[in-house]
Amino acid sequence: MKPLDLRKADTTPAWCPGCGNFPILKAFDAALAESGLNPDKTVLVSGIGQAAKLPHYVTPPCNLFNGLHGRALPVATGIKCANHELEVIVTKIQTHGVMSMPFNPLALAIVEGCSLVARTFAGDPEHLKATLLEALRHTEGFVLVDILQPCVTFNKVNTYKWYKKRVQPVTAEHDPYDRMKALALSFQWGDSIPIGIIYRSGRPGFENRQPMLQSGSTNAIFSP
Amino acid sequence: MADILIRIVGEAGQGVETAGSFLLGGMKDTGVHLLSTRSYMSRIRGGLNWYDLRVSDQECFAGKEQADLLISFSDVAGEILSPSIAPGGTHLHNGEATETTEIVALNATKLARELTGSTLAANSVLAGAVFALLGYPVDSLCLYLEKLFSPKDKELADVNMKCARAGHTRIGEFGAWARLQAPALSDHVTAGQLWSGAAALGQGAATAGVKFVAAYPMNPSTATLAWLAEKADLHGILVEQAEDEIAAINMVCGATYAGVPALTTTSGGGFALMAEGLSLAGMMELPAVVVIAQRPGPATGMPTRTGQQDLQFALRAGHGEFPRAIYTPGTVEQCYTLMRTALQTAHRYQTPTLLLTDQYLQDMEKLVQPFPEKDAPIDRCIAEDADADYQRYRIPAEGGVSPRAIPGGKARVVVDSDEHDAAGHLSEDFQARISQQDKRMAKLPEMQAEALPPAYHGPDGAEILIICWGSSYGPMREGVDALNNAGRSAAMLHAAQVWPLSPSAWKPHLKGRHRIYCVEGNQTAQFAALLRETGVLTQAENILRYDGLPFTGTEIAERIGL
Repeated sequence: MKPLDLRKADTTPAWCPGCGNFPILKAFDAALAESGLNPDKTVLVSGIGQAAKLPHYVTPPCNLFNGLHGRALPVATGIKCANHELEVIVTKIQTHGVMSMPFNPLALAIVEGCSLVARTFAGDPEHLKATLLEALRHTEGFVLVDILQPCVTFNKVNTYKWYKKRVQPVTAEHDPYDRMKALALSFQWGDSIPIGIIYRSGRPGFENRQPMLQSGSTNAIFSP
Repeated sequence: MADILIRIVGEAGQGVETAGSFLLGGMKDTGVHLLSTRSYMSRIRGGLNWYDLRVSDQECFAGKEQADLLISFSDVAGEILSPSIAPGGTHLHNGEATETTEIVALNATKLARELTGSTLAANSVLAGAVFALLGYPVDSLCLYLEKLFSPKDKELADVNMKCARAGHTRIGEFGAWARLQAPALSDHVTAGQLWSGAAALGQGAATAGVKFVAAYPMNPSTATLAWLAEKADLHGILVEQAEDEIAAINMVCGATYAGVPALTTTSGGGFALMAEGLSLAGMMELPAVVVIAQRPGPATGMPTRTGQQDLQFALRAGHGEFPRAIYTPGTVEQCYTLMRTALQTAHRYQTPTLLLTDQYLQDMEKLVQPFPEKDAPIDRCIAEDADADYQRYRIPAEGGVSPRAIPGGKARVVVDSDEHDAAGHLSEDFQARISQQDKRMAKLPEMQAEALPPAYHGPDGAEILIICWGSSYGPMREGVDALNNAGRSAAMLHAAQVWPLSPSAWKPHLKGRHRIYCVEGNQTAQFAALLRETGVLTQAENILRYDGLPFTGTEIAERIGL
């Protein structure tokens, strides 16, 4: 027997109807177009899972590396080391509902002094796009964007409605360069969940701290 | 043949290594052949370490069991190692004379303090004493010490030279001048270079054009990582100590995807963590290269000892089926050449390659002919003209190899750890699965045809054939020579590449032998199993060793029977 032809069923995107990934993809496409980043020089890196498939669906298409589960960051590091002129964007996901304490990506990023730390919400398309755009335009150092995203199939508690009632854009008074205040915001959860630019540091990026990368890319073919 | 083994033994931290390096450096340009090996315990201070230096008028390939000259730094060291002194050998003890007359006692520490007010140059005293015991003038040692110290500290250089001369003179006063039958020094010296296996791997990688190294330290691979880190600026290599081996292999995957030759170094335990990443390189068709420096396992095993126990592991590691090549250098020179070959093969076939070495070969230092200066970086085999229509895994692909573009040009380079279509996008289609899996595995026949044939050493048609792989080359070669010198008829067959292997290159060598032995540093004869699996071998006897120490030529000859 010939192999069954699954192509008609192998549709894209591979997501549930109503998934938060759809607005994220839409906002990302728009932010990417507006950011002026060159897709030729951009690499999207992801691990495994439904959200990690997002890079396959981005338009215009970019270079992409869809690697192993939970291993996107070292791949991104390797790519940056090989050719730091490439813009490298990583998508990762964390689900609620595991037995251990949920990971606090914002707090960790602030403690580690990441260059830009922000949070947005998949149910607020404008805020989502604006935050992603801010992130894409920020080309120096490590940028973390935490996107709150309901799972329409499995999570009946943290729904769009649940989040909408709680998300609060950070006020203009918040100074993102104030690390301790930013850290306090990162732990704020419950009735009021802050979204927006939480933290900024002036720390230079990894490649700017590597003497080897100061005189241009280590990659001979596409370096200037 | 004049061929002596000098064994320096003491606690970690007493200067065993330093004294050894002074001897090696001092004799480097005197026309003798040199080879050193190291045996040490897993501690920073204390324990018992020894450094063996072989000085010969002929090229040597391995260490020896018995020492012609034992230099002990402590009473315990002398007590434990004195049974290893060869008949007629000499024991030089760093300490006061005792009633035992066979021991030449020289309190180098005390002499150094008297001469310089410090004990720091005691190793130079001992080195000078060794030169006298061998009947060598002290000049070349002093020249070496001057070159070593004077760029930083002229006074320190003078102090060490003074101590070397004092040690040299004192031996003469003892009446022990030229007590050992050492090889004659030569005026006609051809320039050689001292390389360890570990450093030769680094040099091979550097000249091949490696630009990125990510690794987590694990003995005995760390010496290569440290060498690369030290030479990073010289060769323009970015060396990153990753948070663990999982990150290291994923970083290498990222870097190779982005276009630079890259590698990681580890030992068996670290490689266990890399299995998934290796499979990723197989799926994405990335030229990732892993250096595995073996030590005895399971688990942490014996961190500072040697073994050949990870052949089958390297062969099977990683889920799924994908082609790979495994190189197993047998000499310091092969560490250099096969590191380059491993990188070239990985790039030519767009698939991971592995290089298996071990503690014995990593720490072995040998005076070798300089590596060719003209050796160029490898061909990265990159499709530079790929355009917007580019498909990373295009089919049909000649020999399974689709043109490989890298990100940054006009082509969008899409790679996925999921099964994917020709464009690299993930696909759950069965036909895509079959065609991509077939494409990847289609590389294997070509890799097999190109595999390094086994190297034969010994008389044609010898009755006994000894098969070995990797670092056992040296001991086997000396064992075979010893057997033939004793009137036996023996030859050896060495595999510098264990996978893929070409049975047609092996089988003719095995025909008509009276006896075939497989000699391996493991307990289960792993290579013999592979030779059986591939139809090369039917009947063979195994000579195995798994105590953590390397084979020696004498041992091989004795176990086969002189």
